Amino acid sequence: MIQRPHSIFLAGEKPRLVEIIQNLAPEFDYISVLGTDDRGLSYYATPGETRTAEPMWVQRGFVFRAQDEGKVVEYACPLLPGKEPAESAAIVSKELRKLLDGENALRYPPIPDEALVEEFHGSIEEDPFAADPEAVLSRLAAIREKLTDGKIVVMAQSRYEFVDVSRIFISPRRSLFQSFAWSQAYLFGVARKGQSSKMSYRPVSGRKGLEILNELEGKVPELTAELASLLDAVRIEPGEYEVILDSDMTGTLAHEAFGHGVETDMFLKGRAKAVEYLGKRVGSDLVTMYDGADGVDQCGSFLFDDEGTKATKTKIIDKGILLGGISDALSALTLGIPLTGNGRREAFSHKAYARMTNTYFAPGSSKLQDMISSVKKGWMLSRLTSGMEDPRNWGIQLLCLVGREIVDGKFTGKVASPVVCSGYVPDVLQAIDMVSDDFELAGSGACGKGHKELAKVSSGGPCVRTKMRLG
Amino acid sequence: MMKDTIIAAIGKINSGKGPKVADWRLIGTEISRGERYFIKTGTELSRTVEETRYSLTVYVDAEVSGKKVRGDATVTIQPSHGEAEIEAKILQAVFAASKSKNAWFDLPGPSAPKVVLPASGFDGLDGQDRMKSVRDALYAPEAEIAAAAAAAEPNATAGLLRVNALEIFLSREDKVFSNSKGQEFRTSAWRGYSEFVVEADSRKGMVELFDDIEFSDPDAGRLSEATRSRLVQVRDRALAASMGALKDLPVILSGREAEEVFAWFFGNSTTSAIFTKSSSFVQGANVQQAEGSEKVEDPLDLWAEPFIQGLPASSAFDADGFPLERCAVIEGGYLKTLVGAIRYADWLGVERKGSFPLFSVSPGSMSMADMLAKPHLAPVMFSDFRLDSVTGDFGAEIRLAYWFDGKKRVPVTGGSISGSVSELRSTMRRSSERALASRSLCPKALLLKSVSITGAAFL
Repeated sequence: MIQRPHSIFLAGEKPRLVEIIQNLAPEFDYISVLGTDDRGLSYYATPGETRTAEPMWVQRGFVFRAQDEGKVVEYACPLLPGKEPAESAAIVSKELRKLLDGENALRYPPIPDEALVEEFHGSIEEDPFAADPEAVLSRLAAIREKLTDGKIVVMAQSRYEFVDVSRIFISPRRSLFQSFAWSQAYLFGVARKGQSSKMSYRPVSGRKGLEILNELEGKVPELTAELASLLDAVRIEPGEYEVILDSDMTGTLAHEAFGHGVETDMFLKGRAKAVEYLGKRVGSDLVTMYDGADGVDQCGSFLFDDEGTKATKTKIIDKGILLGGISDALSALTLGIPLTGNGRREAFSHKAYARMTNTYFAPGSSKLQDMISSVKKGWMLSRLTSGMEDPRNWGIQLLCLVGREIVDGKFTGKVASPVVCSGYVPDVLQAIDMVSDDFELAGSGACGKGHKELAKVSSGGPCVRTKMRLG
Repeated sequence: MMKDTIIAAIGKINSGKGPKVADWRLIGTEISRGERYFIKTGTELSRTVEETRYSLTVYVDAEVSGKKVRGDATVTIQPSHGEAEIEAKILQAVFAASKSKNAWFDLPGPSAPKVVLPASGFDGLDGQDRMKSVRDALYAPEAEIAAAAAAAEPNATAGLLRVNALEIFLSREDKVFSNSKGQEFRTSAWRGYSEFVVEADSRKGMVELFDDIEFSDPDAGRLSEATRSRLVQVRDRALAASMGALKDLPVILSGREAEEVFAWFFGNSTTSAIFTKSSSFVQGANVQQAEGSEKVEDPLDLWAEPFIQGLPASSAFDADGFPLERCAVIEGGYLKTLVGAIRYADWLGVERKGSFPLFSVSPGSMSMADMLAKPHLAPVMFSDFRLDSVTGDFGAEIRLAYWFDGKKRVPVTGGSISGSVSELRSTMRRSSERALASRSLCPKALLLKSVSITGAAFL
């Protein structure tokens, strides 16, 4: 395994950051700085073209957070201003003071600064920075070409992204440094018959390097078969059905229903219905759900969040009973609840919100085959394309590309596409009556807050049997 | 200057033994942004953000079987990168570009803009006033609606109706474009974005609606209308019943969702979509004619637009530095002109038009009044409306819709719709009234027949 090194740039700036914070500390009730240096590579293979670029996640900069008389403000910059630490501190102070002069600002309880010095290095098997780009592009092109047969699959494209994350956090009493990498790769295909086009995909992801392409290569045959079946797909007769959600759909159900729904900045704004249900039943006995950057190893894992809080693992639902939420520092302090290490930023230039990390249902004891056999008339749903939360009113939307019909415990061969799944969250969770004994996390794509603020997360768990409205 | 450092590094690499940079493109971007976050009317957080970055694309040429080929790679150079780091990054990009062997294409040379973008109204305001003008406009309808309700029924106790949370991002974005062919230009633009949540009380507790708006001018009327319409609608959501099973009812899409349908036509008319075969459109063919349909009920015209007043994506040049000029893409349902990235235009052997940020669609043949006079379902807020840019399949859960049965119009919630633009394109009808959406000027509403409707009330 190859250990990910700390950013040379951040390591070089660390002494200066420490001095700047020492200079600023007497001026404010609280002061900290987060430095980021996320580097990456992306490779594309599309029809007639290959290309190399950098992922949208690449960034380098600093964000200073200050608290004074309860008010909290932030100043973000791409490089440290001034030359000497004292000069840098004076410039940062001036920017922060301008913001503190604003009217009608909320006042927060004091932000804690308990002593902590830690660092973390992740590791991968194959380092993309050391690889020959030609080999990577050829591999991606070969995967793409293997899927394209020119008869059914008229277009295919493949993509690989690698990000080396480096973050440093300095406050008067904290010094944290973490460096780790994650990768994601996709294979998309379009099948066509006359004017009708159908699309499907396979993603792979993890805190891994180029070795992840081995997983993608193995998925070509199943995607080929799936695309062919989608050309004969029907539209589902609208109604309520028994459904089995695959682990990706299950994870997104967890993510949308009680991931976003228990982000405690939503509690602070009075936007979360979950507040009324703390300690109460929101799902069947089979529903136990977690979120945490600690405890599992996927794209949402880290040592500390973007507010310098150490990662934890939060049990959100225990056997159907809602226990609590996941917090950023400001909402947790205001609400008087624990800091869970979920304060995350899209980049140094973005605000920290309460965000998910790795969100999942705990596995159960049923065998997937027994679950399928138990369905009288329903659908097995897979290939999620999107989900959306409604934390105030507990609606849920999941969109997927593949519904496979089950009648009397057997697949009929009928396929529906696309499928819109909706329901009232507590009804859907209460109706979960079988949970499989397997477990899988997926971390491709990104999670938004509203329509922006992308964060790298993972979600998943087992397969579950429940009831949803399909259309 | 960063540009000089980058060009010097390219020169150094070209004097070495490895692959050479045949051409390059450099886009420097400086952003200065104010951010305000509000909970109710209190300021949750204030932020100032400065961002600078340089996006460099290098093009490396080679010959394969006697044919000239070209590869490219793009890297981001940060202002904190030193000379050695810059050279290492460019070297890495040059090496990667030399491994791609795509069909050759040329970069645009020097050319003047074909459209002149007017100055933004934000230019005439100072820092405090800019943010205040946006905040005041977005919050104004809350008080106006409360005052109107109090005036109408002085003794009634008004239900709670307000902005719960609001975020404002106001950026000044300065870009400098240059390439090795001598194309150079500067642009300055204001980009505004606001996201807001409105709420109302109901018998079952509080209900909310979420929306956002992009803007480039302090257009108080447009900004206020964004929150006003959602405040009115959230009051209706508080009264909404669960949507029953509705069959054979036309669906009227409006605003952003209508725009998404038109964007499917725009996206499938691009050079990249047609070159890669993700689009089944054929130049010269009627792209509004669905398989098996006899006629197109309301043929559409669609233009690619470099500039639409009030929309921040407006631009006189595309990302390759190609000057943009308004152009008819679809006329009477027929695909006339392909627009999109110039490399794909060259590879397809069609005229270069460039990649446009915006589009407009001709008014339809049906007035809004006529559209709304017959039984229909008109969703005005979805959980997350999704339309697949390739297949045309769409679907979403409904947060608020108005159901008109021919006699009364009632707000309903829950359930979902699904369908396919590919199948419904011949029979769709457009309103004769148009409005600004997020990246277009297009008909305010679109009537679709044969959309699948899933009720919420049969659970």
